[in-house]
Amino acid sequence: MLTAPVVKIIDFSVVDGPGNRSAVFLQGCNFNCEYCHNPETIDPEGRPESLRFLTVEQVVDRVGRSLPFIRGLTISGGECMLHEAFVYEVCLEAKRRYGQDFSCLLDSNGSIPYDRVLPVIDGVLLDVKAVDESAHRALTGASAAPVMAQAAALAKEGKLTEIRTVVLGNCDEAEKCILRVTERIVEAAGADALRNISYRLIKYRPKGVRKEYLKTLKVPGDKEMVRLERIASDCGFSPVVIV
Amino acid sequence: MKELQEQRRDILAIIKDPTLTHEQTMMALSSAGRDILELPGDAPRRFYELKEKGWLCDLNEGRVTYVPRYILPDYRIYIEKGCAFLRLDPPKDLYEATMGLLAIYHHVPSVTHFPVYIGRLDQLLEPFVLKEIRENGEERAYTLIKGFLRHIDRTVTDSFCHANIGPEASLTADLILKAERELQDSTPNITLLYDPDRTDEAFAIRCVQAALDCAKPSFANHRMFLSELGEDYGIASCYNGLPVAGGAFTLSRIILARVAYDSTDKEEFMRKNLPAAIDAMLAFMDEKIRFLVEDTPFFSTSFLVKEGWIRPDRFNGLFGMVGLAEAVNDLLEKEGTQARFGSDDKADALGLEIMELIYNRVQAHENTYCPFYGNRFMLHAQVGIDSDTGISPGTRIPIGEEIPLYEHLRHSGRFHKYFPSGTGDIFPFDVTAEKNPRAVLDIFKGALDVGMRYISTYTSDSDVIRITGYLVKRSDIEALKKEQQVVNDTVVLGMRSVEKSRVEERKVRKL
Repeated sequence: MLTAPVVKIIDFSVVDGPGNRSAVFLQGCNFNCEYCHNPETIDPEGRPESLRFLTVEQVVDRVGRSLPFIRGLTISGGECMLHEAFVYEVCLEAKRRYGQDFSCLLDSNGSIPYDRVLPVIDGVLLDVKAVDESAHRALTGASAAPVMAQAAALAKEGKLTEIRTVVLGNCDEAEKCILRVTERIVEAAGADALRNISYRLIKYRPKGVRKEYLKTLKVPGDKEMVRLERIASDCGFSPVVIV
Repeated sequence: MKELQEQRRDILAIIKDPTLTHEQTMMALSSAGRDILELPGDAPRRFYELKEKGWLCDLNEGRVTYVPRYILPDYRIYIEKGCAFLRLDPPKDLYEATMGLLAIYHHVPSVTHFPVYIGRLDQLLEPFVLKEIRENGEERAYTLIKGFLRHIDRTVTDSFCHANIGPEASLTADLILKAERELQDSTPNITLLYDPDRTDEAFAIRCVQAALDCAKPSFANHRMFLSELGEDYGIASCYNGLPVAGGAFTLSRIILARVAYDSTDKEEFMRKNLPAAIDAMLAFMDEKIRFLVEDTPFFSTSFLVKEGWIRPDRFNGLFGMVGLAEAVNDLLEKEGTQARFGSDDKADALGLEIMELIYNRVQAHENTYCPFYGNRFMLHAQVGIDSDTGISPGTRIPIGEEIPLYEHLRHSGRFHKYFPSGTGDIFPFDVTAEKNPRAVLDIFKGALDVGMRYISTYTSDSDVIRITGYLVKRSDIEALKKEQQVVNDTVVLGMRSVEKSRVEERKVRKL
């Protein structure tokens, strides 16, 4: 029976996509971001205390207990697409049981194409962490190229729900992210598409971050966050949220 | 009845109270004067015996009611015909409409002498707002609406004053929300009559944003009220669903907790004491209503009646109750069970059993002055008064014993059905909710789906906060604590409730 390592399931979340949602966190990530605030979920072989191997049925049951107070579920990680088959089955089953309007989103880093899961999901909350290949590699240990390709592909399908960028002390990279991803979306889906894509600018916070990175990572100023918010709004994203 | 000397002392104390404004002194003196009177007969005597024991309470109406407690005038009459008694012609524009309404509000009495219902403002004013915007621009319309609301706050100096908006979105409703967010006033209280099928989602989200910002509007389950009271109902005072062009003659309440404390066990409570308390209250309400309708001139002389703004046959007696949670916990404790209301099925089952008893006994009682509701009194989950200590409003789970959000909403939903004339729960949210008001709306929608009638929110950092049903500014409470006068007389109730009922300790829901 198909199972996946579930770190936790939360019954209500207002930060994992539009509306109130249940969020499912899976273990294991193919990125190793310096600012990761729950690094215990990175190692695919890692076994945090709360981790349980759950079946598709168990996950869908548990999420359903939060109805009618939620409008859907978001599968997050780690990187949820490392469990592609599981993600597919959970979304399929959730929609079968709770209706096609029950929205299924992924919170994901864009490293793995979404083609297979696309028919059963409503959208992706896509992390765009850096633009320059070297910066992306330095920050995450992985290439930036697939991320931009996924952004374009998802936008074309109308399934790019949100872009999320963690803003570090030097905001240049975040600004570049906003501008570059805008270009790619406009190329792929036209400028109108931006109106239905939200942009979440996440202020870096040291909470939970591994000690070795604390010295080099800096918290951005509020003014800078507001400046970035304006840039994203001017590009056409709606809504733009700072957290 | 107090001795004359004691009455004189009370009156002198009112006159000498430095925290009362002139208006508040007058109102307090009028109550003191009224309370010298006695309503003759057995029923009042029995009621006041049980009031002495703490079981029953007349909610500051005194023995004699000379005006209905809650009046919901049909303000459409002013819009269509004007008001002959006040020599007001039907309004031609937004300025006249708002000025006329302010004049009328001054003449709409209640138990507190202030209007408890000021109408479905969006429907009343929308044609005038549209005309104003067309002719003079939106800014002018906004200025008039804002001035209108500010005038209400400064002259209706009591938070039991309620405006309604919805279910459909309107420009007027949006101007009201914008003004309220800017004004941060406690009055008027506002309710959105919410029906997910009729209320545009974007508008509902704007209502949530306003509620998180200034504690209003609350959300009423429009479909539920509609099925019980028909299209012409309104939300008045704290959260009371009542017929428009009618209202409530009177409201008394049973303090279930105290009836339980005086009972040796569940058996005595259910079989003897609670039925006795219910019967005493029913008889007292009968007598009070009879006196009001037959022996006072209100229903034969008031312009509100003569000009068709209200009709006596659309009034009802409200049968109130508080402290179900404490009653349940006490009765179970006497059985040696530690189950708590809200947290244990056994306790909740007893809560429902008590509600069924009250509901059936009140339903079995006929009062021919209440034809609108089949000659029956409506149940009312009373929110408590400032002198209550350790008694939770209506059927609410006590502050400090709140359960996880969804369970709590489901729990409320099981009890709200009993109270067409009003009940409600309050769920303050952490400020993060402001970033995702749609999520709060999802939760509210779910709440209605599980049977909730009425739900309110505010955020942990709001100045305007909901005490039990009414709103008070935190900054006013601080002023009153320093013995400064504040214009709104509800602040003193709020201050005492914050001290006694731990309002500030209400569980803030983090999202």
